[in-house]
Amino acid sequence: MFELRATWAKAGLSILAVVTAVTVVLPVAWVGALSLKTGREVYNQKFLPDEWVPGNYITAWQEFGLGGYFLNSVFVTVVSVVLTILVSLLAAHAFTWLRFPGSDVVFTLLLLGIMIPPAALVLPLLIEARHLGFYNDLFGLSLVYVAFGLPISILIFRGFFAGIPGELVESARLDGAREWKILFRVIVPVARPAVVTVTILLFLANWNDFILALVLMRDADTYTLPVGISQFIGQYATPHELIAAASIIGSVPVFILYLVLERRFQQGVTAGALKG
Amino acid sequence: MAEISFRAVTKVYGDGTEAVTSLSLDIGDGEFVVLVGPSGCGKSTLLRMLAGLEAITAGEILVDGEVVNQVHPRDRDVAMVFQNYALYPHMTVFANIAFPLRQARVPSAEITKRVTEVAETLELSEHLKRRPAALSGGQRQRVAIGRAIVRQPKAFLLDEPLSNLDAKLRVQMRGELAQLHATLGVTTVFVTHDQTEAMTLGERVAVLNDGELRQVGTPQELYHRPADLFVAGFIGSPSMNLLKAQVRSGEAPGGPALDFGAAGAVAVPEAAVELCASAPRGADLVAGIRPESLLLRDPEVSSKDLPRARVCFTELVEPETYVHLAGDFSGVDPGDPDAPPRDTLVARVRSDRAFRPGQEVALEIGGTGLHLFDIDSGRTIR
Repeated sequence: MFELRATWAKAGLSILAVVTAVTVVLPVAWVGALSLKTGREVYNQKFLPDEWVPGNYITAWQEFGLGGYFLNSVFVTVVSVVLTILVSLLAAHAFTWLRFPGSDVVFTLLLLGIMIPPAALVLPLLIEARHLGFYNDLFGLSLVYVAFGLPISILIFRGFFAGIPGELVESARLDGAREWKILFRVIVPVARPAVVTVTILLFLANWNDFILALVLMRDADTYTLPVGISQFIGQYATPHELIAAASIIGSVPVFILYLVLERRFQQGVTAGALKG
Repeated sequence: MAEISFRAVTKVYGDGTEAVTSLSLDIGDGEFVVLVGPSGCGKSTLLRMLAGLEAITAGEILVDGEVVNQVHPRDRDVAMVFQNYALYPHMTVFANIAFPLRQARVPSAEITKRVTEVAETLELSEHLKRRPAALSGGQRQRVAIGRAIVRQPKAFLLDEPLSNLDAKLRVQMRGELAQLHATLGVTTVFVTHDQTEAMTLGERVAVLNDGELRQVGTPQELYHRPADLFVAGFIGSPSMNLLKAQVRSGEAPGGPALDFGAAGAVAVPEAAVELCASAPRGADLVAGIRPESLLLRDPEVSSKDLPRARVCFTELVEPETYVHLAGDFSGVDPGDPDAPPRDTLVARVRSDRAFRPGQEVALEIGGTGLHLFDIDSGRTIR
C-alpha cells in the first residue's frame, strides 16, 4: 500500500517537473526559433521557421553595434560582481566571527536592503548619481549594482559561514593567522560553493538589469546590452527577429557561466539551505 | 615551555551564567595537568581563556610570569588541539601541519624539514599529500597534534582530543600522548570529562564542578584522599559507594563500628580506626566505601550482625566482576549532575567468584577504601 502511494507520488512529481521544465524552456526555445526567422515570418503561427536565417546574428551584431554594448555589460558586471563578493565576504566574516556591539542591529538594517526593490529607488538614485558625479559613468553604475547586491550576498555568506565550525577560525587564530588570512586562506576555500552561488546570482542580476542602466546611462556609448537591445525598437518598425538574436547573444555568457559552475551552484544552494 | 598561573579567574557570560568562579591554579614548567569534571563544569572555558579565545571577566592568567589577559591568541605562543580536530579540509596533511609555520614566515626549507620530522614522529609520512577527508579518525587526530607540536609552542592545550575516537584507538592515542609529552616535555593542559583518561594521563589532575576547583593533586591523592564528596564520587570507576551512616562503638572492645541504620552495623577495618576516632560519635555522616573495599561474605558462615544485601545484577569486566547490590541503605548524592544518586552498592570482586541475582550476601569493609564525609558540608573528615 505504502509502495503504491510512493509510486503515485513519484509519478506526480515527475509530471510536475516536466510541466515546469516545459514552461521555462518554451519561451527560450520560442525566442531561439524567432531569431532564425525572416522579418516576414515573424508574425506567422508556425513555431519553426520555413526559411532558416542564421545571418540574423551577424546582422544584429554588426548593424546595432552589439560589440560595444557587450563590452560595457562585461565591464559593469565583472567589476560589480568582484567588488560585491569582496566586500560581502569581509562583512560576513565580521558579522559571523568578530561579533561587535550592535552587530545584530547593523545586520538587520542591512537586510532591509533586500526588501526594497531597485525600481522604487530610481528617482532618488538618479538625483544622488548626478550630485556624486557617477551619472552616465560605467564604474558609477557598477557601484550602484554593488550597493544592491551586498545585502543578499552578505545574507548568503553569513548563512554559510554559520555552518562552518568555529574551531576552524579559532585554530587559525592560534596558529598565528591574521583575520584577512583566516578569511581568504581558511574560510573562502571551504565556502567555495557559496561564493559560486553568489557569483551566479549577482552575474545574472547585473547582466540582465535594465531599469537602473536605462536611468543612469545617458549616452549610447555607455549603454549595456539590455538597454542597447531596447534601442532596436523603432517608432514604425521593430525587427523582432534581430531583437531575438541579440537576446540570445546576450544570454550566452550567463549560460556559459552557469554550465561551468553548475555543480558547485547546486551544492551551494543546498548547503545554504541546510546550514543557513 | 612555560609556567602557567590562574589567579582568581572568573568568567561570567553575557546572560549572567557564571562558568568559572574565582579559580586559582598553578601549573609547573613541563607539567602535564588534566582538568576534569562533568559537562558544564567550566573546564573548557578555563582552557579557552588560557588560549585567549574567551575574555576573562575577573582575575589574571599568567604565562611565564607575564599577565596575558589582553594578549591576542596568536601572540600567546600556545597551541591547541580541538575535540573535532579543526583541520583545514581543503589543505593536504603537509599544508595543515605547515600552516602555523607559514604564518610565522619560517623559510620554506625549514618548514619542509620540520614538517617531515613531525610527520615521522607521528607516523604520518605516507599521508602528507592526502587531504583530511581521506584519513581515519586517529590519523586526523595525529595531524592536529602535528600542527600543534611543529611550532614548538610554550604550552599545549588539548580540549577533549580523544572524545571522537573509538575505545581502542582512544587507549592507543592516550599512550602516544603520554609518550609524546615525555619526549617533548612541554607544559600540557588537557581537558576531559573522562576520569579514566584524567587519571591515566595527568601528572596532576584538577577536578572542577560548577566552575569551582574542588581539588588538585596527583591521581593517587585524588583517589585515596578525596577532598570532598564530589571528588570522592567523581574519581574512580565504578564510583565510590556513598551511604548515610553513624560512627558508634563496635562489638569488639574499643573498636568503632559504622551503623547504617536499618541495614545494620559493621566493624571498621584497622586502617580506618584512627579516622573513625576523629569522627563525632552518633552524628549522621557519609561513609564512602570504594567498591574494592566492600567485601562480600557468605551469610551462612558470617556473623549474624553484619549488614545484608541482595545481588541485583553483575557486570563481568575481566579479570573482575562488578556486583551491584541492594539493601536498606540510604545513598547520598555526590553532586555530580552526570551521575544520578544511587541507592544500590557496587562491590568489585575477582571474576572467578560467582553471584546470581537475588542471592543474599553479608557485607564487610576491608582495606583502606573507607572515607568519612561531613553530611552538611561534604568535606572529608580526616
